[in-house]
Amino acid sequence: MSTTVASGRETGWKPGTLRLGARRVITEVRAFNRDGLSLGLILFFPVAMMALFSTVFGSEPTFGPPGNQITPAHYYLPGMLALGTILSGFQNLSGYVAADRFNGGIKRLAGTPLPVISYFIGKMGITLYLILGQTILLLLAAQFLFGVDLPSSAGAWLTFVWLLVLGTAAWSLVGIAFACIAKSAESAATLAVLPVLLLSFTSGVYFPFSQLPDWLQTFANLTPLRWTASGMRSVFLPAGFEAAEPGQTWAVGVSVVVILMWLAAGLVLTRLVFKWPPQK
Amino acid sequence: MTTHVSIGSAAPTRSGGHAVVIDGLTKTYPQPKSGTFNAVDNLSLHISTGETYALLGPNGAGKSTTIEIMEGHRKPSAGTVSVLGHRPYKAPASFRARIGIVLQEAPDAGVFTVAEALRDISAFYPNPRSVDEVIAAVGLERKAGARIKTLSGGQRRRVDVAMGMIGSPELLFLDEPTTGFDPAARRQFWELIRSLGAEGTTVVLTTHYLDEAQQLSDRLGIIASGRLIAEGTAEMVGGRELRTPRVRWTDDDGDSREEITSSPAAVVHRLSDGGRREPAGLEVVRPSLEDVYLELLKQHDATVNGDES
Repeated sequence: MSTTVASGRETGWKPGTLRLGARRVITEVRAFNRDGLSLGLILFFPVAMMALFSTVFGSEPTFGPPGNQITPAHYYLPGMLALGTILSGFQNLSGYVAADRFNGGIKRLAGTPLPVISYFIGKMGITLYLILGQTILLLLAAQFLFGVDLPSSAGAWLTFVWLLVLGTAAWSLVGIAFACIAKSAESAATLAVLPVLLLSFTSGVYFPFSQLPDWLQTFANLTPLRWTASGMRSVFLPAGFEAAEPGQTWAVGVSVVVILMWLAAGLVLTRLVFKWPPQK
Repeated sequence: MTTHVSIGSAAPTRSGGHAVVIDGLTKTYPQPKSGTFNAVDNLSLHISTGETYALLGPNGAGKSTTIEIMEGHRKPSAGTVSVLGHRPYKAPASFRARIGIVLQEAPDAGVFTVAEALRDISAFYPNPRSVDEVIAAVGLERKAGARIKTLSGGQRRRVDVAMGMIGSPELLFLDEPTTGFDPAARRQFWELIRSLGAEGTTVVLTTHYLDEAQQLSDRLGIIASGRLIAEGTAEMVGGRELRTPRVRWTDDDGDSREEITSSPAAVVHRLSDGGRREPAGLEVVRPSLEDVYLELLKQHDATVNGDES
């Protein structure tokens, strides 16, 4: 019995992982931009929340210790920035990956020469697009609509950038793993709201972390959002506000450790549950 | 045997080789209650390079599992599978560059236009066909700029086919490609598959339509309970016995009669007293592929049930 001779076109050919990854980014972002309503809702959600707090609590400097008070908008800015990491990284991304799993997108792509890494680069691209969009809109609104004094030191901005990137990356990996264990695209979308709601209340996003009961603080200390939020507060709140934190310190070092641990855990989980091709 | 170096087209590697060699393939799934279920059960089949091969069988017979194992989408539990000389599961990208897959149904990519979606996918392949040519081949020229989600079911199916052939595959898999097509669209689609076959593309398709299998396939295989129960050309499958002509008529008591005979003319001659009388409702029927198919399944079910009782 003779076997098929491999034709010349096969020898040595490999798809360009980075080139195709870049193409996937363009595809993902373009697909997202086509849905104008969700584009607007997702990008403007943190700004809208900040505007809401500013409306409810007023625009006078009434938050913080006497003599060092800031406006509600200023006070909520770090929380809203931290919220963006779980919104873009976890909620939105898990929804997209679950959709790809159940609408045949992953199955179709896994049957082409597209490398799985290129698929992930595409997902990273759309997530970066969302988190950067949300963040830039939020910072612009803070500066120009709400008159918040943004930090001027390079060190503060450096802390801000790694918090944003690592926090989003950790949530992205957890989100992909979450999307892979969901039983349907609908249940993924519904269930993804729960951790976002719960954690935003336990992480000092909506009200001061120190007001939580001790047991809830202990729980929250294990989650990355709590540490992203406190890290963001260290960047955007004036000196002296750390007095309201547990131990009267920002503990930015702990933020790094907890977020990196979640990043590692998310990586392992994703490696275990993400299937390419999708069936067994 | 010569090595064909072909670039830019799906020119055949007509070396008398096999595009697909499957031996003793079994795919086992765990059952929710207990035990296991063999979706594919010790199945063997060979598909020659350049051949168009149709897999037939009832729902749940294992057609899709078999084709998905050939595509590399599922992992065989036992047996050997060689597709274009590769074990398809987790094969390198260079293998997937040589195959094309038309899935059963995939509603992804709806926000893109037909041309955009095809351009995106063509970028993954080393030697893709031109997007415009493929759009013309599937007859969607006037819909090239329309978003996929605005298309009708049949038009979307043609987009799926276009996505499967854009990489100019040597081997094209089509899983129930014409489900939901109107008769005219089905005929157009057959022409398209024939032209791919004429260019040397090996085509493996599953279908529920026996006329489709008859029209397109060089050979066909019938799968039931995960096993290949018959294989051959549409004219020969099932053997001579199942194809013996039947003479049917209504006798003087008004009862329907049937005689299975290899010499129908002699029977008609006898019934009509050499042409001197006309039996009521007289017809000579040669079993169609559908008759043969249904008879084979009936025989298979009888065997399976006989085994169990």
